[in-house]
Amino acid sequence: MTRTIRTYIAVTILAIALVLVGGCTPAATPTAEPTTPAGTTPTQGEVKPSGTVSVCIDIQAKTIFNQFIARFEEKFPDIEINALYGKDQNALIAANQAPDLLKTGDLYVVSQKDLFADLTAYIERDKAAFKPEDFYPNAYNSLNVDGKQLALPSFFNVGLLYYNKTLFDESGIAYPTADWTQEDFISAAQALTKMEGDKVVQWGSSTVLGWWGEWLIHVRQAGGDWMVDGKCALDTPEAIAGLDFFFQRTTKGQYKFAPSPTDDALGGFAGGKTAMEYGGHTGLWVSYNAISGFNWDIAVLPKGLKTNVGAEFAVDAYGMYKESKNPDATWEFLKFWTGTEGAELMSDMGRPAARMSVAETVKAIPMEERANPKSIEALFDAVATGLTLPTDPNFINCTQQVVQPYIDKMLEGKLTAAEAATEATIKANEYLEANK
Amino acid sequence: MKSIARREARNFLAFTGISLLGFAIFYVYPVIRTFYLSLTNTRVGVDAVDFLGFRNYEQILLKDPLFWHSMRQSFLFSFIAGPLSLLVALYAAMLLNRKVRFIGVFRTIFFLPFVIPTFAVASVFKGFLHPSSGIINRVLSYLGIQGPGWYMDSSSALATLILISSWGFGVSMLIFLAALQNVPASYYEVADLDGASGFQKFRYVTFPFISPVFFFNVVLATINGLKSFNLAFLMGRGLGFPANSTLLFPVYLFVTAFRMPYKLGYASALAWVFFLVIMALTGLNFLLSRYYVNEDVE
Amino acid sequence: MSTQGIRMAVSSRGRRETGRTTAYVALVLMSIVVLLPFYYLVITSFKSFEEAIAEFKWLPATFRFSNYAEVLAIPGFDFPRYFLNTMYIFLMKYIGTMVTCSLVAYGFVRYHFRYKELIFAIFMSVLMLPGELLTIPLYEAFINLGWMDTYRPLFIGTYFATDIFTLFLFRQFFKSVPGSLFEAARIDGAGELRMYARIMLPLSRPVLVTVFLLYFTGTYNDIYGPALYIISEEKYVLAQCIGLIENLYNTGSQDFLTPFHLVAAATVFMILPVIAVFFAGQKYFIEGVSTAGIKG
Repeated sequence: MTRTIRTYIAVTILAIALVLVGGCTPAATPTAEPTTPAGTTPTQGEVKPSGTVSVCIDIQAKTIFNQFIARFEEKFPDIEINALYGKDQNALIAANQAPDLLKTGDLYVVSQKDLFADLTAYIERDKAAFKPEDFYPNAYNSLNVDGKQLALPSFFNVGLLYYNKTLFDESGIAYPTADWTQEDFISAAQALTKMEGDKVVQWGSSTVLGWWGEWLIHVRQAGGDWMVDGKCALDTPEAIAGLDFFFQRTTKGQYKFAPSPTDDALGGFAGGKTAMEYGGHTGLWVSYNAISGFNWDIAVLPKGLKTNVGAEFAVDAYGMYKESKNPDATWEFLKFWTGTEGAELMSDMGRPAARMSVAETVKAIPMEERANPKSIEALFDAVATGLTLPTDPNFINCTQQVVQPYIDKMLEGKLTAAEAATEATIKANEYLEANK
Repeated sequence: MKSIARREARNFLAFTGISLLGFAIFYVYPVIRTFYLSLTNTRVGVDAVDFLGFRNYEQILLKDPLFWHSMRQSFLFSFIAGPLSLLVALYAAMLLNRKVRFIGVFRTIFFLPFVIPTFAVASVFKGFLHPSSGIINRVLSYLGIQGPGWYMDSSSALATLILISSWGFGVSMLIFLAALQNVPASYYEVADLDGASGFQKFRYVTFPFISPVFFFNVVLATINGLKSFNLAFLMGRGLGFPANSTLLFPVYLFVTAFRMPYKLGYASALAWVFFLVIMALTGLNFLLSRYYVNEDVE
Repeated sequence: MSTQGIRMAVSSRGRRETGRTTAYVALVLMSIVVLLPFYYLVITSFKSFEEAIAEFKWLPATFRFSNYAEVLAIPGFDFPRYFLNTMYIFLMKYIGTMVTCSLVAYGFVRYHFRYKELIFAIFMSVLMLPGELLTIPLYEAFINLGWMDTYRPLFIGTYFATDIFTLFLFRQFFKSVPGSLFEAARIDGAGELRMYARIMLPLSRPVLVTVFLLYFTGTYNDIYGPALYIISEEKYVLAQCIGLIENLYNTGSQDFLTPFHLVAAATVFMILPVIAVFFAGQKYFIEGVSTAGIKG
């Protein structure tokens, strides 16, 4: 019997050993200790970079991106692009397997700044051909942290007025124009709200729930802002007026052309029963165009309570991982990716490219050959009235966890705009103080 | 004698040794390591790590309203959802314990929710319970009743979560069913002869028999409720919508650790506080169980 | 029999009849409550995108069976592969747990050791542990082992009998085996491992089936583990694949539309095997779950 036990122990140990050894064999070679950040010192003179460059790409973009890689590799036969389709960049970073090219954005770059190489010297070297001045200045500058250019803009999102042409035509109402005031918006939205009995069957405008996408625009257009000098400033009279308008639009307020949270939103703007969306997201264009018969377009946001400045402007960008083993090759690809050719690709994929010259190419397409939105000019005009978001690392958490609950309660009619704003500001500032 | 004891011990260790090793690796080590992390300000993507001592704990207990809020929501959720789903399960089990036809079919139907992945449960109920377009409120409005705001209203969202979670009563129902089938039929016959009503039979025959099982499962369900994450995360858009009403503690912890700015150190401290709370509860239950279990089992 | 007795028996039978009707009504009502969401899921899977995001209708305008074909044809989404990946993880976990937990439980029941009850009580206490407490250090450790983007972090623990609940199930089951069986076997000259294999394993069929079902649904449901450790698309599991479909129209923004009709169709695909397994193993499963609960 003792022998059986011994056999059992031996088998157990063997099994553990096998599992452990088997596990270790394919293990990645341990990442070297951080050396002096690469990438800050580009090779000078005639360079012919080579090697592999890795980057995470959305799986949905596979087909179009493959064409782009082919074009790049044709031009730079010594560089091989390793596209990691559908991989999670954060997981790779945490696993010490960060790709050479990292995706980021104006909202994230400050809190991720330890990951990125400073590109300033590279840009300086190649600026003649690369033309950094062609980027929208606010997009480009938002990626500069402490005087270091950490990333380059790829495409942007800006708040717009989305409208359903079919519903406007049915009601015989003229499409929104760039000189619309808040009164124009309200009266059109009210005229477009249709009832059957006591049930709303068509909304004048949608209500963006659960995040800052819409209410922050109203606040900023009323002359207020979320963050001023690192502190929450939602309790100013201007900001309160903006929040109040966000509430008054809904069925619980005075204008009643947009749904409260418990109303049937009729599928939102994409549901085809909502005439307008305030703010919206350029990332949704592909989904909108996947809906058959959905005839939509865009306009610059109307003037708000005080100003027409205030649409959210956000940038998706790429930078170089500071421990990239192939900084020169990575830079070549980054340059191509965010250069004119890359920007045109973005544009073809339905994303607004961050280079001003591409806007001209897009605008040159005749109206009838364009996919929706036909009035693409509005997109570029809107950039001028766009504002970036605070880059404070606590902004997202603080807004979503501390401020948004009060906005939710305001929409439910349980708090007035002033009450919600005052309480949210106190709590947000406590949060910012505690999480410094 | 001694050699027998030693041989027994050796055999015991030979068979169970692997679990002792596993326990050390997969439970003891992580708990200790998390405690170490909780004393630092570790963040993903930030190289510098400072040792903070107990400052994270101080902030949680003194300066973090979301900690107290999410704890309260979790306690409300688990102390209502746990017992409620067990009552539903008990009722279902009592229905199935009758000798009626198609009982196998009904049993299978009642058990079905168990096989549905949580994400599907969440998306189905979102459509189902929508305050104005959902089926439930529309049926209610035919009956002339104004339905509640369900998960879209901050005053009913937590209650909605509780209701949905009691939909998955299948496993506890099976447990109760087995317990009910162990009640000797002769007891009911005696009760029938005495002219006992249905409720009296439940109170004096059924319940004493199944109460140990019932209370054991109440404790398990309550603790599982405290750990509940998936449904709240999916229904509350990952952040406790609306108005933090579905911000259960595990959701808060997840958001703190795995959303920007990835505060792993602080999240570890949150996890430890939670651990202590659950430990205290378990201890309390251990003390109390002497009373309720002994009282009900003859 | 006295008249009183007869009257009592009659009235009691009458009461039983009405009781039975009420029971049927209650059973049917509860079944509707349970089944409605299933109806919702199935009907959505036959709708068009426009119908799925618009106001709910009980029936689609036309039944789009093509949704199912469309899900299978989404470029880059390899359903059979994701299914096999899920099954691989499930099998690795299941085998690990079955082998180690049954051996360890056997040790706990069969042999005398002074502190064994205390050890088991400590083991049981981890059922109360919040998983979050364990995730971060294990995550670090698996990264350091170079196990990122492998399935090992998902099942390695089961090879150390770390599933305390299964351990508990086995122990409960083994406890009910009379000791005389072992004495008889020992007289026949059976070794320890042979006794375990010949006597214990065949008896624990309900546990085998119960854990099979629990792990089957559990592996299906687990999105947390794969999301942490699995990076490559070709290693994705089914639950992650639903995430891919939800993101089908997402071009990189935080706000996007979910193609609910395709998600519903994919979900129906997903739950069919679970339902099949449940029907096949129902009898043993019920037996196994019952044992676990009763003797708690």
